[in-house]
Formats: sequence, C-alpha cells, structure tokens
Amino acid sequence: MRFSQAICFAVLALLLAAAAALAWLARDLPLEPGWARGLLRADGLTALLGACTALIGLAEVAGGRSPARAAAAATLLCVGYLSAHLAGLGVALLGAAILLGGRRAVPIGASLAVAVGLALIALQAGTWRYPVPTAGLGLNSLSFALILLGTLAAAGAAALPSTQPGAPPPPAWPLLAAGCLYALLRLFSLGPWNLGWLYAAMLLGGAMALWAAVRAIASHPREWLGRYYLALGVAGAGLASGAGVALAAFALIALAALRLALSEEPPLAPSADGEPPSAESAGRGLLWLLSGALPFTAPFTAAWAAVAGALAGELSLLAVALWAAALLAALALARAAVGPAGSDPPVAGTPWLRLAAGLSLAAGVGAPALVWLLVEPAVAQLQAGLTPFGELALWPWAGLLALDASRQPVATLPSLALAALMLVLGALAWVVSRLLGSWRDQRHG
Amino acid sequence: MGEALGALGLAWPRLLLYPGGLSALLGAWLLARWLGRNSPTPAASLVDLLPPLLALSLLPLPPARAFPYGLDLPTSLALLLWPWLRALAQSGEIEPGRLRVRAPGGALLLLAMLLLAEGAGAIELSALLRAPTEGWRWALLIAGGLAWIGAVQRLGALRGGDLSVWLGAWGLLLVGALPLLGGLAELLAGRLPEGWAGWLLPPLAALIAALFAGALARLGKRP
Repeated sequence: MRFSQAICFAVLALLLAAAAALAWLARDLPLEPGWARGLLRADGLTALLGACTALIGLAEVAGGRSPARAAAAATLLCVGYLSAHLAGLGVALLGAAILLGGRRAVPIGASLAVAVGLALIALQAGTWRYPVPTAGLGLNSLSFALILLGTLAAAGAAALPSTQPGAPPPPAWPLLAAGCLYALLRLFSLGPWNLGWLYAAMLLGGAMALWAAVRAIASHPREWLGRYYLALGVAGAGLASGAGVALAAFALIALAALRLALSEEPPLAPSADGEPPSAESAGRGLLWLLSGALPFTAPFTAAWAAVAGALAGELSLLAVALWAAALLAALALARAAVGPAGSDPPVAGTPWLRLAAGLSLAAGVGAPALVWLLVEPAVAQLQAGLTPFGELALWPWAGLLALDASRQPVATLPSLALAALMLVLGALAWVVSRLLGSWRDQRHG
Repeated sequence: MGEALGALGLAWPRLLLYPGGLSALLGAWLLARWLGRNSPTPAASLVDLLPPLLALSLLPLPPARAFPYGLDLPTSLALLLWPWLRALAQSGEIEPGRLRVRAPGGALLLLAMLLLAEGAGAIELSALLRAPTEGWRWALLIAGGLAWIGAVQRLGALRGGDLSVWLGAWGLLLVGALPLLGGLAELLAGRLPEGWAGWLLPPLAALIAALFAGALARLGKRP
C-alpha cells in the first residue's frame, strides 16, 4: 500500500467514525450549532449517507486509479451533507464531479442538473435553507425531475440503452451518485412528494435495477451490478418509507463491498507456463458472500428490504420485479464466484476480497444494529415527508420486520436468530460427521 | 434477550427431529427415490448442507411447536435454493444462452410469488397457512402453491444432485404445499378427531405436492 493511499484510508476511516458518532449525537434531534448561523445542520440522513459515502470512498480508494481524488470527493460530499444551505450541497456535488471526472460530460451534467434543481427549489421558496418551514413551498415537478434525472445519470443509466450486449459500459460514478441520492432523499425534509414523483422514482429505479441485473449476467458485473445497486437506491427513495430508506442504505453498503471485491483492472494474463495469475488467489469463492444468494449478507438484506418495502406499500408488481432483479444479480456473481483464477471479472487481492466479504457479512448479520443506529434516526427525522406504507421495525434480538400501514408484519428477516441457529446446526452437523467418519474408519480399519 | 435465548432453546426438537433434522433427511431421501429414482449421494460440504436444513427446521409445520422467528418467502427461497445454485454455477450453466432454457421456470416462480403474496397479503410463510376469508384469496393461494411447485420443477431444482440439493428440493416442495395444508386444515376442521389434524395433514399435503411434482416431471419427459 502506498503512503498516499494509506493517508486516504485514514481520512475516510475518520469520516466513517465521525458519521457513526454523528448518528449517535443527532439521534433524537438534529444538531445545529449556533455559531454556524444556520449554515450547518447534521441529522440522521447526514450521518447515514455520510457513512455510506465514506464506505464507497474506501472502496474507490482501494481499487481506483486515483485514490486521492476519490478521498477528496468523498470528503467534499460529506461536508456538503452538513450544509443546511442548498447552495452548499450543490457546490459540493459540482466539486465532487470535477474531482472525479475532470471535464467529462456525464458527471458535470448530472451534478449540474441536481444543483439547478436545488437552486430552483430555493428560488421558488424564497429561502436557501432547507430546515426553514417554508422551504417546502419550493418543491416543484421541474426541480424534482432534474434531481431524479441527475441521480440516474450519475448512476450510469445512460449506458443501459447505449451499450451493446457484452461490450464494456462507460464508468458509473458511484460516489457522485451517492451524493445525488442524498439530495434526492433530502427532499423528504421539505415535505411529502406527490404520487407522480413517487411512481417516477419507483418505476425508473426498478426498471434500471432489472435491466442492469440482466446485463450483469452476460459481462462486466462490476459495472452493471454497481448500476443495479444505485438503481435500488433510487427505487428506495421512490418507496418513500422506512423500508425505502433502509433499502437505499443497504444498497450503498452492498455497492461498496462489490467495488472493494472486484477490481477495475483488466484480467491478468496467465503466466508463460499456462498457470493462472498468482496475484488472484483462491479467494474467488468469497464472492458468494457478495452475491445476495445467502440471507446473512448486505446484498440479500438490500433485496429483502426492496421486496418487503414494495409489498408493504401494496406494490406487488414492483416487488416481483425487484425480486427478479435480485435473483439475476445473484446469478451474475455466482458465475463469477466459480470462475477460474484470472477469468472475468477480475477480483481484487485477497485482503480486499476478505474485507469486502466481511463487510457484506457484518452488514447482513448486523442489519438490526445498523437499522437501529443509522436508519431509524434518519427515518424518524424525515417522517413528515415519508409515507406510512412500509415501515422497517426491529425484531428484538432476532432481526427485522417489515410492517404495512396497519402495522401488521408483511415480511420477516430474523438474521440474528438465523445466524445463531446456523452456528448450532453447524456444530451439530460437524459432530455427527466426525462420529460417522470415525465409525467408518473403525469398520474399514 | 431472555426471550430470544428461550426461543433458541425451544428450537432443539425442530433442529433435530421435525421439521428439520431426521424427518428432513427422511423426506429428502424419499423424494430422491421418487423423483430421482436413486438414493442421494452425500453432500459435498457442510456449507451446502446447512442452509436448506436451517430453512426446513423453521418451516411453520404442525405438529411442531410454534417458533417465534419464522421465515418469509425470499429468505426461505434463498436458503433452500442455495445448494442448487451452487451446483448450477459449478456446472457452468450460468451463461446467458443456457439460462434462457430456465427462463420460463423463473417467470413461473415470480408469478407464484405474486399469487401467494396477493392471496396471503404477506410473504411470511406462516401467513400462507392462515385461512383467508374471501374465496378468491383461496384460489390465489392454491394457484400460487401449484405454480411454485411447477416453477421449482421447471427450474430443475427437483432434478436432484447430492443430499443438500435434495434437502432444498424437499423444502421447496413443502413451501409450495403450505397453502394446500392451510386449505386441508380449513376443509377438515372439526371432522377429524382432536389432535389428529396436526399429525395427518402435513404428510398428506407433502404427499399431494410430491405426486404433483412427479406428474409434472413425467409430463416433462414425454416426447
């Protein structure tokens, strides 16, 4: 690891710790320091998206070609999240776009669209500060459309219709997309969305997730699955519920784990004697923990929150579409997990792969803790803008429950109970297999 | 915390005897003999074996004592399909061209989920056993259960492999049989001696589901 990369890691680790601390401090009430004269504000959403952005930043620093720029962009975005002034967020997004993409049209265009959308809201409301009660008067369809389209553009939606099957897609901008998603979710602070906006976000997010998951099976899972997770985040915003916010959070965590595990570099060529490249170890099997095929992982939790949230909102067709996307996404990484060393997609080195698998496992098994620490405060503070269709409740010492509008359980994910029972069952099965083995040995020997 | 530990303590009969443990192994063996015409080979690894065994242990099947931490459709499907998915990946069948063959099965699975969710109003497995008040919900639930079995048969998840794949297949069949079990319990309520329903109806529902899967398999083999 280079020295500059280590510095970037340290900065992002500090950001992650700060976001966790902020989640604790702003759990009951948002923090608004008096000396900042209303320019700074930190609440649950700031902490939640701050933590997710720091995680994605860590993944970009580990695997990207310009770690310093990625770290600077993640830091700038987190500072932007602290701004109570809509212009502050817009400037942070533009700055991050320039840092990440230089003069490339997509990041600049996406961040500009979001910044203009935020500016239009402020101009129409007559205030630039979003915590002001009258700021919600500025919400309008044009601003919403600009912010939604900017988020989708940063997530790389344009590549879906324009890329030939099998061809490498142009890069997506996950850090920038996380920032745009923050702007989209921040609109809930201004007031409830109208039904058309909700449907637009759900349909565009759901369609993009399904399309990207289909593409991921054929080739380039790193790029297409990245788009799948970002689209899930947009669909989560469209659900406008506690489950939707949780979906956005778990999708971003799963995205960070994916980008940490799969390398941006092209596959290494086999050595002269035909042996697979030694840099890629036998750790490819760890990709199973990132595939979403097992219920103890972050990708599965994201898919579960998507299906449960849609069903709790009585959107069965959306739930089925999101489940189909999740199954296809699982197939894409299942294929990668059994590929020989050196095959496509190239995986990161073993330490990164282990870290990614650990992150996925920790976020999956520890989903109730994450929901308690990060998601619940954000949902409670955005409550005025969210709908009651699809609340995610903690199931004490067991896992998560998705509740419908009448607070009846619709779906259950007892991740902690499953993990505990799996340990018990594993121990039992191991003892039985050892006993059978020794019995066979005695019989034959 | 105490409640959770107490619940885990109550899980022993489920893990060891029924619906997981020995009864699951017996069910998987019978299913392998019925659909695969062979005894299942030993599981390749514990990693493959444990998820379907866990899902089977938590199925809401009488007469096992109710367990407070039940599963829902996505979670149980993931646990039960795990060994099949691993086998599918290792056989190199996850290629866009080869997957198209399984697309109708996948579509049927999604349709089954839609029908079950609409019929039960939830995707919890225990909700599939509850008797709905409206007739159309009954129809959706039964159709969903049959579509579920048809889907897993069409996907190839009932064609077998080692013991872990057959355990998954047995679990998938039982999940599809849940609406049927709920229907039988409602139909025969009060007509069976007290306490008999819990012992008689789950094997009966599983038998009907296995016969249906067998019929589908035979039909599929016809030229």
